[in-house]
Amino acid sequence: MQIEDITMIVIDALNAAQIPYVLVGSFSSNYYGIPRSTQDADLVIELAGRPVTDLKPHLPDSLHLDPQLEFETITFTKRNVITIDDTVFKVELFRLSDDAHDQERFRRRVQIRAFGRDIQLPTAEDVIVTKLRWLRRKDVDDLESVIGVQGNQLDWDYIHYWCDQHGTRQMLDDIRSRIPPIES
Amino acid sequence: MQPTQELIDDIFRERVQRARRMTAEQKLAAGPQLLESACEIALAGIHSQFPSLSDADAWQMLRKRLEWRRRLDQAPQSQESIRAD
Repeated sequence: MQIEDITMIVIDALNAAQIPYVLVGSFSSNYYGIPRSTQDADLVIELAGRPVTDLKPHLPDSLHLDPQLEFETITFTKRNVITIDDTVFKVELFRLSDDAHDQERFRRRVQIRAFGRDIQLPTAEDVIVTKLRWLRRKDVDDLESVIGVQGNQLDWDYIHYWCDQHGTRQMLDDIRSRIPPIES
Repeated sequence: MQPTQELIDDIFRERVQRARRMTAEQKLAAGPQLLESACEIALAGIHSQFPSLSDADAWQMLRKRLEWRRRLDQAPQSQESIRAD
């Protein structure tokens, strides 16, 4: 198994178990921006009362789903972690929360086609809104890269609406002001 | 000697244009592939620095370093430090 196959194996397992998901985190910012190294794949899943262990029969033996829920202290969300034999790469399954933007990001997710399968991703606008909200060290670079690569294609009214809700508009303006003009 | 802002902007533009030319598959595979390459280089560095270390112990040291990196990446960045960059 190649390291780049792991996320696709988990996506196939979620599809087989009929668990709705969206691939977020660095995979989504890599898709919309300038790719960078990542130690994990983050997926938001909607279990709707089902146990996460419903996923287990669809995972190969080399992927280990920890049924113990962990609490993520930056984003205040709950997750289960999948570890993989012989690699430091991990997959994290975050529970869809009641947060208004978390719900909206999940509702607006888009389907792309890659590696012969359909993959659910957030919109580029929702990647920006989320990264501005958590604003960890890596998020600033990701924000510059997504805004730079997407250029004029972004729906700024939508981004501004959520930034105003989250109080992140000034940070957005600061980051945008540092990005040089780039031809479309 | 510090790079000029013009040079920094040109490098950023080049990286943006290169990313725009990538396929969906290339973008989604890049993160884990770059991690794998970084781990190979880091492991070679650990073995060079500690020649008597077993492969298992070198892996353990790499895992600790990656966990440290993960914690650094997760640390919130203040608005002031963004503006000062």
